[in-house]
Amino acid sequence: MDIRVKNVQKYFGGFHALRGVNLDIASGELLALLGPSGSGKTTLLRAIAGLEPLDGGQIMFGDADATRLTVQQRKVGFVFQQYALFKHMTIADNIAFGLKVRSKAERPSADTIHKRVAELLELVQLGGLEKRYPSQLSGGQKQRVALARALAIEPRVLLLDEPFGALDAKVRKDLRRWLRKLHRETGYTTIFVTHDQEEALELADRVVVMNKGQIEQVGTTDEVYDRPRTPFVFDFLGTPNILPGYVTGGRIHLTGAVAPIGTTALAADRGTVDIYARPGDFEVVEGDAAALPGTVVEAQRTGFLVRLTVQLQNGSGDQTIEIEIPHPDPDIRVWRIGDPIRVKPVRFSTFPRDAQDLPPLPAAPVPEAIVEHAVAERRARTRA
Amino acid sequence: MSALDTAPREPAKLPFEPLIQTNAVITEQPWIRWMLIATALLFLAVFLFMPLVSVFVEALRKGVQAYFDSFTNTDTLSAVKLTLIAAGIAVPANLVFGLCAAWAIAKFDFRGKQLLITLIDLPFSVSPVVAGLIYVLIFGSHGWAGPWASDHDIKVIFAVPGIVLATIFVTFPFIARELIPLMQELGSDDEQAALSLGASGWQTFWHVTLPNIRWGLLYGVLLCNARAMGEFGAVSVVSGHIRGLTNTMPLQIEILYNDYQFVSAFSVASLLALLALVTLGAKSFLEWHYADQLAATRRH
Repeated sequence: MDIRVKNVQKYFGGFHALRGVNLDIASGELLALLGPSGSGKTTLLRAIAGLEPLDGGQIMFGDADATRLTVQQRKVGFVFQQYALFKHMTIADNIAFGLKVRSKAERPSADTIHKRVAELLELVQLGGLEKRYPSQLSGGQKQRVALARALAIEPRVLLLDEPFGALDAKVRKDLRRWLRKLHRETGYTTIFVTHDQEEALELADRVVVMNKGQIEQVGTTDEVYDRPRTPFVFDFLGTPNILPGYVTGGRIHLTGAVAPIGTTALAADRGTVDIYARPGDFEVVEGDAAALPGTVVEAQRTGFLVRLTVQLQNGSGDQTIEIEIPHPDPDIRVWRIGDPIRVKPVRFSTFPRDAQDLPPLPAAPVPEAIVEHAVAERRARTRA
Repeated sequence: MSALDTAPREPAKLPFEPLIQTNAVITEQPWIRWMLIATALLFLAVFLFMPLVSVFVEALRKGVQAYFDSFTNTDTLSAVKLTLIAAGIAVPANLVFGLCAAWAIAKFDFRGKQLLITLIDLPFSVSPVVAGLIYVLIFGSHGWAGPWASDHDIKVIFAVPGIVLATIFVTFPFIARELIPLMQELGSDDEQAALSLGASGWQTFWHVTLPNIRWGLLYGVLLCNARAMGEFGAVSVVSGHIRGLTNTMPLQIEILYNDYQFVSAFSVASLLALLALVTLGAKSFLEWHYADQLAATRRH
């Protein structure tokens, strides 16, 4: 069942938690709501569930308007961050709860309920623990019981509120993998909330990045990581280096470099821009006019990468950036503090300097070919 | 002080000899410790234990038969009956009220919430005599609702309804105060989970909320009951002391004592003392067994 969120508004007293959020969720997809605390992601999730009444907008379940439906009528499966298992009931009773509270007309027979509970326990790999109480389970097991309980009612959509937030790292990794497998097997439309970008990128089909009650970007994991729409999205999904630059004549230049590092389809001058590049997207080059000169200030070896802190001389005061490059062959090159270096971003996003909420310039995303072309051009010019 | 032992201890010879651990820095010398304990025990003995024992001693002074004869007096029997009626109405009434108030306060935000919380604590700060006087002022013949009451032929003051009202007033806060912090701490996640699974409001309350608060509820009911049965001041003001009609057990004890019927007085008093002991025992058991689910133990 697909879900459409249309221009929803939510206030908590004076605080504007959701500012006109629009979102289309396809049936059967695994969607992540990603953002920092206060971004409205949990509020949005709870609004879809019916646990938060809205101050404006609509929520459509398929073709029906679900905005006025109570939480019971919506038939959603909600999994809480702290599991919210019923402490005084056994696991079997917990899972059966949703089926037992149905009205006489809809309630399945005791036998059917029993079978379904057994099925679900097998599905979440907790078979044999029916008679246990929640207090006798580990965190990971409790989370799986909460999931089974939500699945028991055959919900139209599965909603998970920071499902792995309360677990330690190893359990979290295992459960992530397990959830992905479960989603593939059962095919429920699933929406989960997280503040962990690694989790969102690893699990989701699509990621919704939210900030201050608004959606910054919706896209596949590749889209949000490689083609971020706003500086916030770039910043949230990794640690960018921000380099000043300018655009003239359709070419993007780093301030302090001679040649352009990329082109933009917009021919007109766009003035100053910020160029965002991740540490792993830099290249160390020799004699490239598009690169920036700098000095190595710190060098740290981490596995097969070397993390270098480089102090750039790019004219606008000294700026330090962090880059990561594959560990070079020690016979050829080892970076020491004080070494001069020339670096250049090969993958980057360009955002207008002063209007942070405007979309980025439609720059060519991976300007390798263009740069090569520019370098060849320059060589041709110098030779001539 | 000299309790500080700076000499190095011998390492424990495993596995039998444990290291002797004393937090030497904050422990008093033994004689100070014993003196403090002795003072506390003396205080308890004089002000608590001796009066309690003397109640039973006086009650049994003329023998066991006289003890049981005290309860054949019809006035005494009606007093016992009236106490049971008053408690029997006050406790359930305060149970319902306490649950509603705790539910509203713990799970919702509304204007006047703080005022409600303050009002709930009011009966604790008001003298019981004043509490009784309130009802006299309202329902007495010169009170606000007095003429209305007599027009409708309802006797409130100097009759059972007044006693019940006064008892409800003074035992008002017990259950609510026990449940509010408990429910605030529990939060509403469990209830939201139940609702999302399709349970109605009533099903959620019965299957999820109530089991979560049951021990705190029992604790509050216990305290409420003990106070309801033992209330003297407020009931005394509204009662009128009409023998056989408007006397509760505490009032009856006073009457018997003033009539120089000491054995009877103490016999009835022993009933209240027994109630106190049973309440104390049940309270301790609940605290010991379900401490994690009782707000009161956390508060103290």
